[in-house]
Amino acid sequence: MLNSDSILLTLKVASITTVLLLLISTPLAWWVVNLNRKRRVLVEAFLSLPLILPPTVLGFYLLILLNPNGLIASTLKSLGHSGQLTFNFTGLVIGSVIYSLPFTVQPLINSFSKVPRKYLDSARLMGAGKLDQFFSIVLPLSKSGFILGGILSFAHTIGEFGVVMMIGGNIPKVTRVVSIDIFTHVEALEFEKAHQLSFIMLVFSLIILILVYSLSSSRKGERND
Amino acid sequence: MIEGNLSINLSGFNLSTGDFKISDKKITIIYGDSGCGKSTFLNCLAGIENNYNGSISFKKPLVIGYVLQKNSLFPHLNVRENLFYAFKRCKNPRYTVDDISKSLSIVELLDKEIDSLSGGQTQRVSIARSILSSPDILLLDEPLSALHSQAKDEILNLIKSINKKYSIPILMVTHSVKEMISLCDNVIYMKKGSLLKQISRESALLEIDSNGPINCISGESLNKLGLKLHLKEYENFVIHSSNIILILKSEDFHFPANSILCTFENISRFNNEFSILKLRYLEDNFLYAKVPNEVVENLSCTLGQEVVALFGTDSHII
Repeated sequence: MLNSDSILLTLKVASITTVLLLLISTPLAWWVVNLNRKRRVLVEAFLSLPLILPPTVLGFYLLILLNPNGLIASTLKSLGHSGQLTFNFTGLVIGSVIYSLPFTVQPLINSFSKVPRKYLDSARLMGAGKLDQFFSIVLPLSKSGFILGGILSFAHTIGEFGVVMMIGGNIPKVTRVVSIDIFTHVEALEFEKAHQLSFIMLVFSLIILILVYSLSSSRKGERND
Repeated sequence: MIEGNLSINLSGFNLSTGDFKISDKKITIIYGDSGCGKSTFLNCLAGIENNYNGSISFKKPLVIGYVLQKNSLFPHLNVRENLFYAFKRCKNPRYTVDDISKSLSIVELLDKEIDSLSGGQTQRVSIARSILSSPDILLLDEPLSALHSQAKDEILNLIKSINKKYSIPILMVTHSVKEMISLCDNVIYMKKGSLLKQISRESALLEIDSNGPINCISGESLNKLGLKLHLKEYENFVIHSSNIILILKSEDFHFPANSILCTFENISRFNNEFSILKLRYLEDNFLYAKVPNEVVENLSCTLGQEVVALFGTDSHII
């Protein structure tokens, strides 16, 4: 019988991570779009680091950064928090947010950049301030960027392994997500369970990719003059 | 009144205007060939382009309405929502969406999506949206350039009526002589990269065509002359000076419909081949004829002499 704990945990981590990422990435992407060219290159490169950095490297640095005796944990402790940010659910979410950040930020940056300047100029001349322009023009014209960013970060979080392993370990029901569960089953030579979970992941990934490609092909057909 | 002096350099393109003043009452046309910097100038006035040297000053803070050359109606909102976008953000609204929709005949478009509008309808809605900001001045950047001729005429009349009905001064960019003639009270004539002096419509007609003056006879004058050309009062009859043939009036001359009786006023040399004859008609109206120099010598005109001006077939009504 397939244990659904890891699946539920994975979905929970991915959902929370996606919501957090959309909230963080929206102002971040808008800030990047409005930077001058030189700064934008630097910031975009920095934000894209998780794309090419080995997950273990990212996980390692996060482990150092979030360790119970580190600056962040100590500050939290002085504020009454336990300061425990590693090897628990919180750590998992923090790691996932950082790991999947480029998958939300980049589609949003692309969408925001594509909003024609003439709309913003017109809005400004009609008396719309910066924030008003963002909410009334940029956001509604970037719907597909939000959908794409949401799907990609959700899918990417579901598939992560290295960062989770480094920062969360392999604690059943706490940090054992699907990818780690598969690894555990293989190690224990429980191939049938590994098969079941792997197949679910395979189908899920395929569905996500079909969604992403159908979305980007419909975006190509959008009129955007 | 808008006053200023600005110079701008945009990726190799230089625009240096010198001192300029723009009237805040009537329709002012910024006329010039494509690529001479007209739109850039308008963008600077609107504050869209603000990377320039020099200054622009307004007598009082101005609310600027701007209809951009490209359709800038918001595609995610329908016509009504686009109009309300401007109305809701207007601090001192002078008009309501209802009034303007009726007045600009767009009531039946209110629930339409932007991408379902024709070129003329798009321009109508764009102008309506600009008016709903209750602007102190309305800037129009080639508002007719993408329209077919019937829609052009409709929008031309609309622009005239807005200026009259709502007393909104209009500053419009165009490179069309026709639009300039039918709309303007004043002309700012631009040559590549520089703003020339502001001139009256009469002076503009004399200067804008390097091949010679352009004559513009109002429908009203033609009616007074009794010429049955079926023109409406506001229409104009446009004749290039090189399309006028002069005949000395004789006793038994029969006036065809395409002729005007004038008196000879003066003559000026245009170039080595041609001269420009200035002719007076209906007391204080003038007609200019571009005539070969040898013909001038044969005509041997004297001041006040009566001459019949016949105009050619490619004259047109606008």
